[in-house]
Amino acid sequence: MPNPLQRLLGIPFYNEVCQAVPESELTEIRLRQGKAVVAKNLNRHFFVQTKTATSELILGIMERATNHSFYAYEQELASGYLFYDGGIRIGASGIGVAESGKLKTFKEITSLNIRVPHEIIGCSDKVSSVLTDFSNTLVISPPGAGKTTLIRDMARVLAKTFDILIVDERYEIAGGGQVHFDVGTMTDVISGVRKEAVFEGAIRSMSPQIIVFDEIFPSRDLATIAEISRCGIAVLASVHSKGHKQLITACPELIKHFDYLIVLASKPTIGSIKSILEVRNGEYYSR
Amino acid sequence: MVNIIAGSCLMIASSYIGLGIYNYYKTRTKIFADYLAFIEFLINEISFVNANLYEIIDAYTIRYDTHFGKLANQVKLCLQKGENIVVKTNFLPSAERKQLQVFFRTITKLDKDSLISYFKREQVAIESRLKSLREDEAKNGMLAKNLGILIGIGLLILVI
Repeated sequence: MPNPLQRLLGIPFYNEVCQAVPESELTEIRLRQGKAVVAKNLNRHFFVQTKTATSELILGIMERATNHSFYAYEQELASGYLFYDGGIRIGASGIGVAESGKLKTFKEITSLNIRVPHEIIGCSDKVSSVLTDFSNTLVISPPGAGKTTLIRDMARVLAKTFDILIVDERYEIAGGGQVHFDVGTMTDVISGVRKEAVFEGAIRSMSPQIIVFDEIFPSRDLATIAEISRCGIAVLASVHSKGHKQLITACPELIKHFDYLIVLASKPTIGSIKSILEVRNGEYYSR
Repeated sequence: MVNIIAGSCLMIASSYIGLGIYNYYKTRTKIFADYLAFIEFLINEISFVNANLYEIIDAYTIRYDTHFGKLANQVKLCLQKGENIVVKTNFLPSAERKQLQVFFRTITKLDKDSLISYFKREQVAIESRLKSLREDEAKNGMLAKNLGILIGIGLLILVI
């Protein structure tokens, strides 16, 4: 029985990619029509020898990613990504179709970015000081620095003690409807819906002690975070930013709701901890 | 006595061939009529339910146990296995089988708006094809059926 990545890529292309980077190390595959296929691991990228991304190859992958029903995935495509089994996320770009000023779908897809998630059990050991005395925590990093992997493992550890609710908007933390990754024994997962659409009902029905979100957008999610904090429920979330200073400048309101900031970097390797900061009375103390 | 039995056998065989040819024309017409209805079914399901193609075909094949339903079931199995869509039937000539395959392959690739336009175009084409198939059925099918029976009776008389 082929695994999700084999099913998505097709066995011949999967084998070619894995000759460049073994699946256990593979983090990203990039296909750009007419250009060489690029596979990435945690540290660098590799060109998949002999393989140029043709429109047939891209179309074939899209067909499998959409369960042979492209029309049924327009909403996901318009939001910029598709979810596939095993937490694989497929970003697409190409000739867009707009309606009412918003992207509706793509007529022709010319590039794909396939992100392969990895579960690293124990990667949150580096932030154990935050976990032992857990309070609202924000993981900060630029894209592709390991935020999701870290908060998944943090959720797993916290779920030994607390009732956790993961709101997995993009299926990345738990890996889909049938939970694919180990997110802990006392964890409930709501997948595929926006945070603000579910948090009220979820708080009432699931009574979580900690809510976990991935990739919050301050302009959209600030009110949700504020409401959850007001309810006395702890929040573990992640946000895209180069560092905490940039985030403080850009969105001071968001930082106010968090007691710990974990800043990640992609160098020397993805998931490197740059700093762990405790926020007390508007001051930042290194831990 | 032997002559009567032999003549009867020839009459049955001849009628059977005539009815078989008639059935071929009739089934072809029925396939295309169901094909047209299937497109209407697809338009409704895609517009209002947004289910994926596998689920739509599954719902169709459960509801309609027709020859076209069996062809749709072949497509469903191809989708399930992730294989290239292939349709096999003795009732359609190669060109029409290919047309059906192209139809199913195309609808997996299109966005909703393009799909609806494609369905409308297909409906027009199938309606026109259906018209000529109905004429074929009435003309050639009925001719084969009547000739089969008449030749059978003729052979029976000759042998007796």
